[in-house]
Amino acid sequence: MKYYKIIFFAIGLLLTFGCEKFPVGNAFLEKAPGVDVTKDSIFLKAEYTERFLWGAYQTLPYNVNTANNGWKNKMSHDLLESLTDLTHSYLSWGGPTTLYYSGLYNSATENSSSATKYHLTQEHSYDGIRRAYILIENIHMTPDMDAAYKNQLKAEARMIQAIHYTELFRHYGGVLWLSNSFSPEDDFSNIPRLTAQATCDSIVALCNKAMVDLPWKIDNLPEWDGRFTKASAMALKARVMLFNASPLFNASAPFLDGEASQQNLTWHGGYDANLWKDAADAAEALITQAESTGDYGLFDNNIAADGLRKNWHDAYYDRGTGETLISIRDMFRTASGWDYTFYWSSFGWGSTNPTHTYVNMFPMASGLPITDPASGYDPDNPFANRDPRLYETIILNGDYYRGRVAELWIGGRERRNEGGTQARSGYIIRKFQCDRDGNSANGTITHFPYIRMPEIYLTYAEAINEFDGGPTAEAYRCVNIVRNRVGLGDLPAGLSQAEFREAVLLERALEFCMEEVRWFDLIRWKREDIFKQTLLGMNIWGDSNAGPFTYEVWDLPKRFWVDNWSPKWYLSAFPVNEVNKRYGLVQNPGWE
Amino acid sequence: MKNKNSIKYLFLWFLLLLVSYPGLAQQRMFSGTITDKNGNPVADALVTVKERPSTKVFTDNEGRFNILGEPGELLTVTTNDNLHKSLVLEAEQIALTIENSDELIPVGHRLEQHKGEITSAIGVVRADELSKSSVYNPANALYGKIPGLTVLQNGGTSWNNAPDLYIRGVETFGIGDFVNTNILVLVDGFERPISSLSLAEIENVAILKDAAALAMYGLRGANGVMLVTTKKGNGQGLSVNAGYEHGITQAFRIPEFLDAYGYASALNQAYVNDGGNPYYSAQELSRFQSGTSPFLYPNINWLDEGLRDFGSTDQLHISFQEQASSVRYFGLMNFYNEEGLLGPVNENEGYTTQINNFKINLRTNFQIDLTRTTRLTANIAGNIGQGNRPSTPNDENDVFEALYSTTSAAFPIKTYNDEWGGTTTFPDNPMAMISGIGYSVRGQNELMVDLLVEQSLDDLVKGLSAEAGISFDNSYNFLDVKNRQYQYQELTPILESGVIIDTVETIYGTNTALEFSTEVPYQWRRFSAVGNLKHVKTWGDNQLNSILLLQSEQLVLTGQHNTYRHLLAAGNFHYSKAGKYFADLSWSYNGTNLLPKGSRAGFFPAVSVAWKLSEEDWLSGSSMVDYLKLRASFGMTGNDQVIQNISASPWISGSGYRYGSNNSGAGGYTEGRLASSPLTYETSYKSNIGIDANLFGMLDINLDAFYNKREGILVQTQGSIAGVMGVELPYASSGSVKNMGAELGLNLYDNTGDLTYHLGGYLSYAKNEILDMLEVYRPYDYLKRTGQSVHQAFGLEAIGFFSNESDISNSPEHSFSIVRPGDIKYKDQNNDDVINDFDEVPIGYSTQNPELYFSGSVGIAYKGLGVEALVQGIANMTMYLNTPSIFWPLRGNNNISSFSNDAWTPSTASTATLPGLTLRENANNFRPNTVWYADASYLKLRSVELYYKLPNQLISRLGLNETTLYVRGMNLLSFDEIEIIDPEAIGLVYPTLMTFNIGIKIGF
Repeated sequence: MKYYKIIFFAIGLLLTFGCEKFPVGNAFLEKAPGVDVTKDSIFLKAEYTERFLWGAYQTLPYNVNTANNGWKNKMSHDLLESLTDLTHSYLSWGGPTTLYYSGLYNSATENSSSATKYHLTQEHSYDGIRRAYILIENIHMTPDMDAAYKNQLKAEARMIQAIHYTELFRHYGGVLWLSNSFSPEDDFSNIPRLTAQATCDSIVALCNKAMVDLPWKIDNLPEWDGRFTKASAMALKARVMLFNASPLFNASAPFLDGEASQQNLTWHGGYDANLWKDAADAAEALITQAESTGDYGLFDNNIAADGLRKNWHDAYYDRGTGETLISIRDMFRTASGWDYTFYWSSFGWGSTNPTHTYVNMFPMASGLPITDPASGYDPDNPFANRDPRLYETIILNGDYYRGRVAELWIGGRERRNEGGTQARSGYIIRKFQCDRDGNSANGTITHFPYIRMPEIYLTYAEAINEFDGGPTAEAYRCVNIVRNRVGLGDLPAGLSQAEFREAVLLERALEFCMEEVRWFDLIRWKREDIFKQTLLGMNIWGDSNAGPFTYEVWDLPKRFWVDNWSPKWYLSAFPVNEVNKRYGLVQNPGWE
Repeated sequence: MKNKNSIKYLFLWFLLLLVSYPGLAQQRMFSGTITDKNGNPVADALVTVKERPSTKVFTDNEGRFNILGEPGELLTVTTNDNLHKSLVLEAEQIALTIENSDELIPVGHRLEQHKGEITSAIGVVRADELSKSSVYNPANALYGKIPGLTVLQNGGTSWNNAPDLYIRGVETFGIGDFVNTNILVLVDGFERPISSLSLAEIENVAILKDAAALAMYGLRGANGVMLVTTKKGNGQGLSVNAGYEHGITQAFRIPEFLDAYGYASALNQAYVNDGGNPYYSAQELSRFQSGTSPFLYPNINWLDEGLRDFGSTDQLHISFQEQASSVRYFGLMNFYNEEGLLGPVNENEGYTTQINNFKINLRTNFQIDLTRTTRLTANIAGNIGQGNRPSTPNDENDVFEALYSTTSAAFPIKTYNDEWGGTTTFPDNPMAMISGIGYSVRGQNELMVDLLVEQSLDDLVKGLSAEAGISFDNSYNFLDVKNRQYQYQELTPILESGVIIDTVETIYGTNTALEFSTEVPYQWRRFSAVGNLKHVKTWGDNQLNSILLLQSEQLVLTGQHNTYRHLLAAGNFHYSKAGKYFADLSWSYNGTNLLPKGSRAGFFPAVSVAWKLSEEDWLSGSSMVDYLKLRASFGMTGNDQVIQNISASPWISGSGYRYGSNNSGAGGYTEGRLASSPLTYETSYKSNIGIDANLFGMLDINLDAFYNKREGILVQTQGSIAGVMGVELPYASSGSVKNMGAELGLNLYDNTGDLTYHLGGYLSYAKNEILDMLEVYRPYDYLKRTGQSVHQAFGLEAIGFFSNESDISNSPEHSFSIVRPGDIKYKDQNNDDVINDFDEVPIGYSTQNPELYFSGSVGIAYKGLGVEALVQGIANMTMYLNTPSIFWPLRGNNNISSFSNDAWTPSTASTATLPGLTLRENANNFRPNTVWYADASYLKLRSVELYYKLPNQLISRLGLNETTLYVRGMNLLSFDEIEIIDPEAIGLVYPTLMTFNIGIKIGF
């Protein structure tokens, strides 16, 4: 009987700990129901499966900065264009100034710096590749989605992978190719870098596979413009094949010797003219289908000749026009201001000052280069009667600007003093900035036209010129389509292969500023001569908008590689930390 | 089962326990005398017989007592110093000696053991020692008071000023900003912040250091445990104590910034160093110097203008206590008020913007003997605090950031138009931030309750007792903001040939009326339930104490995934033989909701032994050794402070894509960080040996040495997993750290007639080493963090400054940024002719905690007059002097202090200690290197006190007993290398304070 108290005590303890509020054991330690989503809950619903793909789209590369840090902050507020002859950066903390103009870039820089031109992991290319694999591997679980649509989503996922691999290919050469979504336990040592040729082939295979299941065009453009089409896949294929056929890899000798060259990771081991043919065929296939259906082509709203500027502006800027084959989206402008850092970095901070060298590349409106005595070019009135694309690419002194005229003379409102970072080269970029007027751009999404139709025409022209040993009539036609749209006349007939090649490269420079085309044109053609050029700036002296102005051309600061050129600059270095994990990354030539 | 039911059952159970049994007894009167070691009588000691708890007698001034009892029952004596001794009643005359080793020491889970038989490493400080400090947060009374406890001061106002606490250094590292080095602080057995208490309510503070003491805390013990015990009622009859103290506070150190002329000259120098022309002309410089144009060329000492020389504190407490027949209680009220250091705070009608902190602490602790066998403990404590400050966006440190960062030459306080001065470069006018933007009121209400029932079950099983209880705490913080905006005016002189011909005035911002907003930024609730069974068995000269306990805890913080739950089962067997040999076996089985199923619970055992040599026959007669004990322990304990929610990969909604022609986005889902698996707690293997001794009755010696190894520390996996995974990489529980060290405590004391003195010192040494952290590949061994201390400072080794361009071209290429003369020249550690990250070497010591922590105290009293002093210091720690304005000058519109006086210029190149001034981003100079790393060692005079105890014949006439007057200084001096600011708080924050206090303590 004495023990009943112990029993009561024990029962008391049990009741205290055993009731709902304090269940004994694991039940008490279980997490309260939360709002967490699991992988299963995503792929068990069509809506969430789609949203997962949208999350993968989000990793696609964007040409300008849209954020202050982390994702979408390229080169520390700077742009790839400022490594070319088209623009020059005065941004003191940007990648061009700190790493490239100074020559301080090396493989250790890639370990941590966010200012390099394309970081192996910080550009989130492998994030996009992984997300695409996860979709491809799991979409079979989604119950409320038909097979055809599943195939379309898978094809879109493959296109995301193809774009990321293309970027890696163009910055690094042969890539480390993943075949599924890996887990940390997997053995990465079995994943070597592919050769350059195998990389190209693998990207082309992705495009070919995607083509089958992608729609030729988007039917509901207002809602879904921006998703991949069959035309997107054909366009990317043409771009990657042209790069692959170019002399950087396709030559009788590597651009620089090294282990990676010996393993054919950054060289094909010899020259193969058929690679040009493949590129031409890929472009031709798209041109043929585009022209026969009329769904894709150069945007032209048939406005009067004085509207050529507006026409060309809309061609690169507007969405859903049939001109842009791959349109990449990120931030947009809002009524309250300018939502992306590109505005600040390119304008006041001076990340993207167009060079006078670039201005000189634009021909007269007639199509004649300014060096032609017949062109009518007047050095004392240098901005008159030029290619309309000049005005829409660069803000020039005296051109319209925010309801008035731009004052780019020294002391003017756009260039207060000679030494500031703003308009230091004498020019400001207009492309993608438009009029810098928050109201007129209110609510407009700035898209990145990753590939536009003119590139396909120019790709065909270039490739066939190389394969055939000179320009064909079709090659002329393709270039002239691009020139005629902005009112320039046809190319002069009878150009040699080399002259035609230069004409096409020039056309690409004029058409695609800020679209990340020029850098790759320079490296794939190994244009050491252009890298070693001393670039020019402009000082405009005058007292008021009325002028008279005097124009003083001056030399921009020399970049490191002007006097210390090495072909190693053509490709990026892998982060030394990643190389040292010894899972198959062979360092690129010159960066060992 | 419903909640309501559970409460009903709980009540039922309590009621059952209250049923008591009448005893049948053959009582006799026992009488005796209690003396201390030296034969002096011990007065006012409580004498009870365990079997009859309602009978309480106290010894008289000769130490005598008479009590009713029965042979075989257990007599217990407890003194006011918490000395405690028991004796089985036999002879009717009793002579009992009670000594220091009879002190009861808290050993965790509200258990106590006699000091003489403890087998684990525990350090204690008692109230009389703590009361030598004048503090707001009791944690700030702990500097140098317990060997093994590192207390590092931080800056900030009193209510934010929580020092960092480490027990035996650190032996783990967090990831990024995540901190997992927190020690567990328990107040009366339940986890509570020590800052919620006032010093006057604390009886003692103990720290548990080795596995023997910590094993019963399972997953929460590895970083060490601090036990804070509040006061219980003591003594015969009601005693009331009151104390009042007034303090004057002063900033301990305020850095000295250059005046306008000095700043302008420095700026010119920076322009020249950067390859440009001076910014200010000679005429402008002389205008700064002469002060002839105070509005256009001002010279403002912002710290003089913005701060007053002295702040104040007032603290009053009243406590009352008694140990009556069946009730023991302690009650306290403590009032604290502090007025801060801001100067112009009364510029506004109806309110002040002074930084202010007011708080009332309340406490009632009851122990009630409900029946012969049942005791109820009810502790109720709370505090109500309120504070005031200018309504700056974050906290009062915003004001100090502006005061420190705004240059003397920036702008006038107010322009000649009576507008606030300001420029687009320096938009924050410090004086406007003090008096022009309204005020914020911050409040905190906390209530802490615990209720315990202890039931003796002697009648069922001899020596058995049981206890059960709950605790509930709630803390609620709010902020009422009355904010307004101010407009400011920029004055720009227009110069023609150096002469001011006009001034451009530009107004920015607008003056607005006060706007009100309120928020509840933070609250927490904690609920615990505990229960235990204790058993004491004695046979021959053996005794075995056993305990089994269960504990359930829940803490809910604001926010999702912020519920922390723990379940604990723990036990201890304490065996003693002949009062000489002691052994403990402790264990716990502890689970947590922070970890996934399968790895969320752990078993933590520990064994420990002690041998009290001074009880051996061959030593007990020694005149030299009064007390000598050897201890050894080994065991395990854990740490479950891990980042929440990483055991599964979260799939995150958000950042999608923008299709179509509209701005509307299509929502996305992405995969979050990969699941960290297996994810588990840290396990610490701790071993300890120790000696406790007393020589000649006047020298206490305590020596401990330990060796710990921590495993299962959460680390990043970048070093081992390929970076092309394409997703945030998981963490892994695979780090490990070893930690070893020793503590020495010496205390010499004596009293000869009217003179008493004590002289003591503590020295703690703890050195850790990272054994494994899945470190990223390092091409050179000297770059490796593995093998170094946690938070070891790493940086470049400066070998001077570049003197000219040819020096630069003849040196290895410095690759961080383009270098100019005056920039730091580094040693090329790997001789690859490039200075980059691969040239970083370990420099000095850890930047987190010192390896050496020491203190010394001295006290002398003659009759009623006495003096006390405490010094405390640290050594073997490194600090990174990267605070802008104070250490890093000018760049980013920052200020320049006298620290930069030795900056490089072409003419001072040979003596310069700092690189040349620059206005550019300069990644070469401003990075971790030997120029900016400094020795963090200091020796501080923490407190000095002079007191006078009024003579008894005087105060007894006034009806008082024990009345003391004192003056006391806190944080008076520091010897260190930093000199221009307190080495313990180098940020742009409210400064650390030195205080001068005058006070009185009265007993009724």
